[in-house]
Amino acid sequence: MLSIEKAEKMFVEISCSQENKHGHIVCGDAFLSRMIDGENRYVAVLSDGLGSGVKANVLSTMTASMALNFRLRHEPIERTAITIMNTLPTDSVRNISYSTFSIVDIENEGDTAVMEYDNPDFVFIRNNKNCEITKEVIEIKSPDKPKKIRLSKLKMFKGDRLIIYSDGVNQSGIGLNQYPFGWEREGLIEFVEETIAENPEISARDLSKTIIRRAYLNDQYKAKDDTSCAVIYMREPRKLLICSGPPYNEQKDKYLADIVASYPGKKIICGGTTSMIISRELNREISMDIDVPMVDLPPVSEMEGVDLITEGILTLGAVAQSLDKSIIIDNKSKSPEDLIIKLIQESDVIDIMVGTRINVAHQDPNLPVELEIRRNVIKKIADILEEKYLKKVELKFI
Amino acid sequence: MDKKIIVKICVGTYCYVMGGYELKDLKSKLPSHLVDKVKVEASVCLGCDKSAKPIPPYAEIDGELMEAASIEKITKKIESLIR
Repeated sequence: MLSIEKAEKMFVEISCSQENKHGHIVCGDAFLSRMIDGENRYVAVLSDGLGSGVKANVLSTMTASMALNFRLRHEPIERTAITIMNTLPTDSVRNISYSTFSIVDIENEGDTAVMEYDNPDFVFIRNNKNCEITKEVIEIKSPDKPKKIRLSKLKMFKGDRLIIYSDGVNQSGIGLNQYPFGWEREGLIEFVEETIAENPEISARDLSKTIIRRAYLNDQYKAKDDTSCAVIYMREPRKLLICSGPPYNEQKDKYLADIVASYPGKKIICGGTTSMIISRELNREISMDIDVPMVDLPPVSEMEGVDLITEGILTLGAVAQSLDKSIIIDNKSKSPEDLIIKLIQESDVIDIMVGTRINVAHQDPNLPVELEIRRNVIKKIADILEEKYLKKVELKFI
Repeated sequence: MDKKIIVKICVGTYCYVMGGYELKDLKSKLPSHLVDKVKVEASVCLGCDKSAKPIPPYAEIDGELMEAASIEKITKKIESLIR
């Protein structure tokens, strides 16, 4: 199999939303996920700690991080579970140590193992419908009563979704006339199927948010328990191309323009000279509206077939700064750096083409020192996107 | 005179930093008798990298490139073109 084609095939989007129990400032559930680049592997863990508040948060965070690290080292599930149970501190009131977990381990493009201990059964959606998976039950000896771990193995394909959640979700609304026993797993499944039917491409991020919002509503905006929901969605990666800088060799101008023209995804050009080159090679005009209020950065311009054109190094510097400080951008903002960040956030795979020709004009010593070298700024952006935002970034220098 | 004089202002990095930022207000700073005769546009780059020793900011008035442009200089140029 072609490795490049394989890597392009599927993207695993993992996203979790949470709501704290009413009146608590921390969530008693913990969710951790990690992508291991070299192994093409993803591990996600959701844990619900006994009780609520800080104590529960400590229990669940310990459980989740232990489970994650044991899985990463391929430790057998029995040993993982026993170690967790032996390590957790004992609750002084209830005199037990307890937390639940669901571990999802995805390898080799979809070979998935799910291990659940006392969390509600996960929901698996294929072809936009719920599918029940047969589970194997493993008993683990423990001093009080044997603990049961449910183990499922399945192969996930493109379009599949796996949903793990804490009992705050299926028990939401409990006691109301409408839900005497809570929303229950059936209610959740029905809701998820309806949501996906309305919006078949809904991202993991939006779906988990929608589910939590609904559970919150079931509880009449006062969550009765810590409520968490994580969605794992196997999908076609949403791709974004960012071009900045003229190619070192002018003969490559055409090559760069062809990449922009044929790229399967969204496109951004950052830089005046770069956009002039692409405009010339593709014979497409650039238009700019000068009447929009300019704030700190030169205005954006437009070209047929390109989603966004901005100025280069100043704008990229602002983008790097915003990303580094995790500034939450206003969806309605029209400033060039926010427009770039919005496109980045909506993408999974980001290809960056960096032109390396030195712009003679930029060597003027009168220029402010903030004008950094393009390569450095872009390297910084790429590092932040990979580490902090779990994006797949591919840098290419021409 | 029916045809408007087209003034292009460079908002590329170099020009923008070296004074192009002020040129964007050109339209509001023109004397009132000139306002209707001029169309102000922005350009992503007017080609400063082609010159060996560029003096920014650049502007282009009716196809003619102007180095070290300022609102004053552009106004004078437009006046001379109208006459």
